[in-house]
Amino acid sequence: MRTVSEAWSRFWHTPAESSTLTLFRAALGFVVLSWGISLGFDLRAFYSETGLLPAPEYTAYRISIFRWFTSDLAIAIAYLTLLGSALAVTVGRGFRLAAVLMWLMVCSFQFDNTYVLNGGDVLIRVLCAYTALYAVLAPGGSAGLPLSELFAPARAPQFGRAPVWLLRLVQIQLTLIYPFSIIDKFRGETWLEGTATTWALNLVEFQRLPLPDVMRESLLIGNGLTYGVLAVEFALPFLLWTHRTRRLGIGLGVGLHLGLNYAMRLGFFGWIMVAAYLAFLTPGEAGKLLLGARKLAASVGQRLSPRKEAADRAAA
Amino acid sequence: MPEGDPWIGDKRFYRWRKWQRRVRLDSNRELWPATAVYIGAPYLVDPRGLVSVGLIRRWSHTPAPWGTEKRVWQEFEFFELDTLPTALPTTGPEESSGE
Repeated sequence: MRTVSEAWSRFWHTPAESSTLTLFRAALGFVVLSWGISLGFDLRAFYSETGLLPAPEYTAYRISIFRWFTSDLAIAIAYLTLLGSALAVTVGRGFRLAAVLMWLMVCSFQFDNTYVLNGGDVLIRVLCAYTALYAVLAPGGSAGLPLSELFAPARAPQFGRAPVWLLRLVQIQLTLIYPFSIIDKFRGETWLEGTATTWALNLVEFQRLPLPDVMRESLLIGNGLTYGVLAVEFALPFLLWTHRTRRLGIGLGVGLHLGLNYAMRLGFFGWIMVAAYLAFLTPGEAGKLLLGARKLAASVGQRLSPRKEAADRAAA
Repeated sequence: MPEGDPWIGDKRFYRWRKWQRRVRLDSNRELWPATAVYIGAPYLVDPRGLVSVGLIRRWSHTPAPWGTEKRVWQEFEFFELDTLPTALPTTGPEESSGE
């Protein structure tokens, strides 16, 4: 019993180097920022009193500032707050307040018009809720490394240590999606008979980027893809939580969602799923990715600066 | 309805598709008047006048991709709004839906 208790504490409460947290935080902030920017084109249509849903109905548990503030000015202020807080979370400045505001604004917009949401939007909201909870409860300085320090050329970044329970929540959330997805798929016939992906790839309204015709027409390929997706979704929870197969699980899962994102119009579903997968990276792997980004930025900066100097000289 | 390119437009399109799929349902009939007003509002400035706004349900059986059956579209108007914006239907969409 004591061993179980110790393992439980170790799982939730052993601090780790904050590189994974930094990567996940920046990715989540970026996804929410992009989600917000894309929403800007349709603010009036979806949220204004002169739009498609002038008087939305709220059930008791739905949190939204638009219950009380319904003017176009309120929508504009909330929208700017959404963008500002998502940007702050991305760069890692003012994290505690920004994460709470980001969650509140995402809830406000999503609950004000639930008719335009898909599963990816719901996952964005859930991950924002976990992040806001973490921002409020974790000790100060637990936000991970600000991007300004990561990309500062003068000194090497120091990641420090941070609690891991936010990453654990994200890992568990991501894992639970697959069994429920499989249960849902087994309710219909097309997944069992192996034709589901063929049907899906032929739905014109979902088609995004070009695919070879044979992928849409061949039943054999369709069978392979359908049963392949089922097999991957069934295996992922086991692969992700087993030390030796974790990387394989991340590769298969990210590959699955990048593939779906390429072929089909699914909004931000693929983006937020890939962001959630980052929580499964070890601090060492996340650190390598971040330091790689730092090197890339430095290299681009070096390449651009001589040109800039030359341009400045020419202008002078 | 914006469909747009597969890069930027795609990130708007899915929301409109969701709206389109849900607004047509009888269980969401409370959405129909405001949707008709929203669609018709830009045409109010047209000097020829706006006669009415109709919401049309258009559907087809999806033929099996590996078969030879052709897609046959069917449609019917499930809601009509006669004038904008002062004469919103007071009888409720059920009576004016034409179903």
